[in-house]
Amino acid sequence: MLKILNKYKWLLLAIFSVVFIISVPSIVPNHYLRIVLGNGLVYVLAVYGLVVMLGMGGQVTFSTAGMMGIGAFLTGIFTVKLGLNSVLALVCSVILTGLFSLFIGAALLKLRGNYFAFASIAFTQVLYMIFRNWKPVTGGPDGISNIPALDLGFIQLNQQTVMEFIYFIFGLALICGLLLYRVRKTSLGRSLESVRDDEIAANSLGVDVYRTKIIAFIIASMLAALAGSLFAFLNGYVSSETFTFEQAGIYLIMAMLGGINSTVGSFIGTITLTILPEVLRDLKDYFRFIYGIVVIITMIFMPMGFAGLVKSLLTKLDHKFKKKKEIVTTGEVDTNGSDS
Amino acid sequence: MGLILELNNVNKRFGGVVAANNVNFEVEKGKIKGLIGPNGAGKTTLLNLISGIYDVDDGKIIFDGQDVTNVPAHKRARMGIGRTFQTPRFLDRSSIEDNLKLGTDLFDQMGYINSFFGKKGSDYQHELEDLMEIVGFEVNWDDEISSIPYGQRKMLEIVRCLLSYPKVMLVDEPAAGLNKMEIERVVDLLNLGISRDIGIVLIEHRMDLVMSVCSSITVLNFGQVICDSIPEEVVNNEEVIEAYLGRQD
Amino acid sequence: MILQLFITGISMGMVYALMAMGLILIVKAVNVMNFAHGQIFMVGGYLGYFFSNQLGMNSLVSFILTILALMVFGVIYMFTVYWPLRNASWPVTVTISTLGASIALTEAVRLIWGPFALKVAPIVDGSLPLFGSKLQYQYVFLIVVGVVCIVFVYNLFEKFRVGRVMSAATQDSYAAELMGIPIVLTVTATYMISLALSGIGGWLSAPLFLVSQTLGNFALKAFAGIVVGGFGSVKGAVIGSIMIGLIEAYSIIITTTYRDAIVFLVLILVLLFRPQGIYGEEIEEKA
Repeated sequence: MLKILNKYKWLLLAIFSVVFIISVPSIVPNHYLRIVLGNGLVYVLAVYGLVVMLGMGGQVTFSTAGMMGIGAFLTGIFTVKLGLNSVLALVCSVILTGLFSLFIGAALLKLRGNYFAFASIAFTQVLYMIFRNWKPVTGGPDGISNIPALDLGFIQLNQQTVMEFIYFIFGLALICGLLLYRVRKTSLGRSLESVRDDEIAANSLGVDVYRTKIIAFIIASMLAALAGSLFAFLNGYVSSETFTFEQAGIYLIMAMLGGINSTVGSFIGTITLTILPEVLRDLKDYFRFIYGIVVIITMIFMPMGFAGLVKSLLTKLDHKFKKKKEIVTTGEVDTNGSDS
Repeated sequence: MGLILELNNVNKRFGGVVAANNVNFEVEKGKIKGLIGPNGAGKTTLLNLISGIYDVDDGKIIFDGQDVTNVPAHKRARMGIGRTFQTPRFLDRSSIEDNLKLGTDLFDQMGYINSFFGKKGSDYQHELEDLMEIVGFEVNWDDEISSIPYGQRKMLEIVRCLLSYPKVMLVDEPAAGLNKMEIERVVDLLNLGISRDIGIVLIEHRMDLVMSVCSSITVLNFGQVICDSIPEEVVNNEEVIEAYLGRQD
Repeated sequence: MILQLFITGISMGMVYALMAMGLILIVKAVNVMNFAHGQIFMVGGYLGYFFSNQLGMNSLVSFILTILALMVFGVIYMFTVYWPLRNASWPVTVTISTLGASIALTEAVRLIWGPFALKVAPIVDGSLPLFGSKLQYQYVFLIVVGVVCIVFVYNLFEKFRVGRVMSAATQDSYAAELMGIPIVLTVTATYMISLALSGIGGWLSAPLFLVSQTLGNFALKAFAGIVVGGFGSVKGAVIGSIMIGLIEAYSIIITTTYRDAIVFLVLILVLLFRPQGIYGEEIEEKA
């Protein structure tokens, strides 16, 4: 099963994309839900950053919210206050955040494990304070509103054209997902995995641990900035309350519930967790409570999230299948015969 | 003679414990240097000093004609100092294939960007097939490394090291926990290393193995070299017998 | 003014220290950061409101009942949020489950006591005139109880045999099992003490602030305290937390809007220039 799945993964991805594109307008009929879905897709990009940082590199980080905030506020400032062209504003926001994250990463990644996690919490908190209080630049508690549409030339993307916006972000998410898949298969992915699992082994295999972590941090930050910038265009406003420490925790949860080691899993996890509260509106008051409990239960019973569950089920199925075959052909089950 | 690695008066202390005391040590290309000594003699520490996991307190490490004393560990690995560990160090949460490809990555050294854009590296598949023929077992490349037995993991670690074409290979107790047949395979792997002109440092407790494959042996005790000679002389050296073999009675 | 800031700083430091001690005990025992610790603190505050105001009990009974309730909850918490995940191949799963717990606790409290901030009557009323300004007795009371708790925990873990056995057991679980020390018990006890400490902090500070769901955010300052003091020792956590309290109090002189930013900037600076903290040991790599 796993092999078959692997063989036809591109076909499956294509089918999924087409089905998504065709069915979204009818599945998500009302305008409000469409905006929620659009935001969910935006979060997917930020969560992809965590797939690189945490899934591949093993570094727990709460910096996602902060970096996303920088991307969003830069976009707000560029478009509203400086009147820059919207596409240019998006590109500049992402690149500037990338540069900024190079310095932040170089400083904070000298720290390891828990220390780095704390530093990233402090980082996000400091940024949150700045977003909320630096009135002349970030608008303080009011934030920045009236952000124009993302002008692609042939179309203006904002809340009025939310369907098109959804397709646009879906396309970006698809591209970023494929890039991530590619990274995983190349030496950067393997180096990151070695950093995650065993820094000493990484060193003895010629991996520059510090540099590799910084590269992952920059990738994650730029993805977060892209998400932040798109968030600004989609919602038309940015406010500090979107970029809190709690929100950073939510991104971690999204990544883990979907499957931290899987691009597809984290996509599904993020979308599900954004849409679900709206679909289950009847539960309204109880939803977040149940959500918290479900997070704990998921970690206990499927630590690798949704994707991990699917994978292990398929592997089990494969083994059963194989065993049956072996019994038929040789008359006995092969037990791996090594004496160590 | 082709000297590839040289330690000059290397010292290392951990608090009050002397782990390396004025160690002088030489490794030649295409030869196996045995490193033996009682438990806690500082053998593994010496490998850690050579590969750069620890910094030396003073003394010099010269590799391939260059002073690498202050070169960080990952750069030494890229220069060609490969190693295996007493307990194999793999990426527990990655597939066997990814684990082994890290060895090829180290050899190719093409950088992340070239790799990302699909620049062709060395012929990983072909290389690997040859090496797997020597070790004589098959694995499912997509499985996690923890799913295969300990002995196979130990051998795969040497395979990974050989994939990176090192100039010096530091091998820490490759035979521990392996059965007789597996040990023969390990010897085959080491011989392949010799045929590639790799200088090998071998820590091993099984004296029969050390005596049969090493061209010279260094004996450590309390961080100090007490004997450095050919195998026949080492077994007859009184200090060695006293320090090492003598502790059994 | 300066003196009043000092007292406020110290007492806030005490509150953070109570949380930080609990956090560090869990870190030392099982190497887990409990991200729901602030919510435990919040629960302590709500329990204070429940026992003292809703049920009208006297302060001492309310205090003891809060501690007992949180100790019982500590057992439940340990067996749901930590124990099933102790052998997980991805350590981050425990972190995520504590994040889940923090959400669940916040929501549970909101469902029970509603979304609005509640006022809790002070345990000791009145204030002390002090050099022209006034000092609420509640602050003094908080400092006294805080010091008692700190002395208790410090002695328990650094001086008494029980505590030493506990920390030894958690550092080398294999050896501990061989010596017949059941890990489950030591870990459970650690969680009980840890949660009780945080709850005491919440109970004590409930009258000073309104009790609301935002009390959970106080834990971020305790995290800061731990790091500033040095990751890994009770002493460091206490001193670091008190420093954070003082920095926070005195930063009012410079700025009111960026008060929290200053605290976290200090945290980042400490991490960059002295990552081992004030009382921490050098971080060393193991091969």
